Amino acid sequence: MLSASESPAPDREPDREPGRPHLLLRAGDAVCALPLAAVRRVVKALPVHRLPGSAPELAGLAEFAGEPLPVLDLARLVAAAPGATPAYPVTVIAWAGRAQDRELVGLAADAALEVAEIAAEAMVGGGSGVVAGEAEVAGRAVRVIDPAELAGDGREAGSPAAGGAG
Amino acid sequence: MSGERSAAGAAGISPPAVEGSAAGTWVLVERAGSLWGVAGETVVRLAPGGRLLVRGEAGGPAAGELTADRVVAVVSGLAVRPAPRSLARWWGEPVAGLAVYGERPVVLVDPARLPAPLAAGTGRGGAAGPDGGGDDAGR
Repeated sequence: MLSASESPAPDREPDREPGRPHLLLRAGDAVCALPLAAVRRVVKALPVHRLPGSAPELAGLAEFAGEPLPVLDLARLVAAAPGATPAYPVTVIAWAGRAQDRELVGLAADAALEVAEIAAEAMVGGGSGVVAGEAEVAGRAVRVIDPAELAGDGREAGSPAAGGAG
Repeated sequence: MSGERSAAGAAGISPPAVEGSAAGTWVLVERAGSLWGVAGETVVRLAPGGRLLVRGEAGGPAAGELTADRVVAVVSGLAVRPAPRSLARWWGEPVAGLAVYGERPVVLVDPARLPAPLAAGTGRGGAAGPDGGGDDAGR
C-alpha cells in the first residue's frame, strides 16, 4: 500500500483550503449559512416577547434553559424579503461575538436546512453588517453570517467568514 | 414560586405599598407586553394604577416615576444576568440586566436611567405578548 506522498494523484485538483461546516438556514427568501462552530443548539421556534422601541432586527427576548435570551430576526438581519409562511420555524441558539467574550443569542429562522462546507476562498463580496459575504452552495447563493457581528464586535481577525466562535 | 410576596393587577386589587424593600427584592411590572424588574430598594412608593416612584439609587432621593400596565409580583432571588451586547446593539434603552420569572424574560431597570417605555405619561406601547400570542402574564 502506498502512502499519499509516494503516489501523488496525477489529476488531483490544486490544494484548496478545506471548507468549514456551516448550518444552512432559510430566512425569508434567502438562505443563510452560520458556522457550525457557532451553533449551540437548534430548537423549535421559541416564544418571543417583543421589546418596545427595538430595532426590527431584534425580535425580542425569549427564555431558553432558564436564561434570558435576545432573539434576532435572521431575515431582517440579512434584509431578505418575506418568504412563505414557515412550516417548522426554528430558533438557533448561537454563540455571538468574539471568541474570547462570546455570548448566546437566538436567531429566528424559517427552517434549518442542512450542513454544508464553505471555504473562505469561495466567499465573494466584502459583506456588510452581519453578512460576511456570499458563497455558492449546490447552485444557490448563500449569505454567510459572521457570528462576531451579531454582538457588534466586528470581524474576527483572520477569519472573515468562518467565525472562530467555537 | 418561592420568594414571591404579592401579585396584583393595577386594574384590579390595589397592590400593597412597598416602602424601601429589602435588598434583593424586585418589583415586577408589565408594560407594553414586556416584563420589567425594578429593584425594591429603589422603590419609594408603589401606588394603585401601576405608578412607581423610584430613587435614582438606593437611599437617594426620589428621582422619577414609572408607569406600568400592571404589577405582576414582588419577588426575591432573581438570578440577574448582565445585559448582552447583542441586546444593546439592537435596542437603545438602558438596561441594568436580564432575568427570568416564570419562563418570561425580565428586563431589569436601571433606576438612574429610566427606560422610555416605562416613563410616566407615555403611551401603552405595542402590547404584544409572545410572538403574536398576546398577553400571557399570570400563567
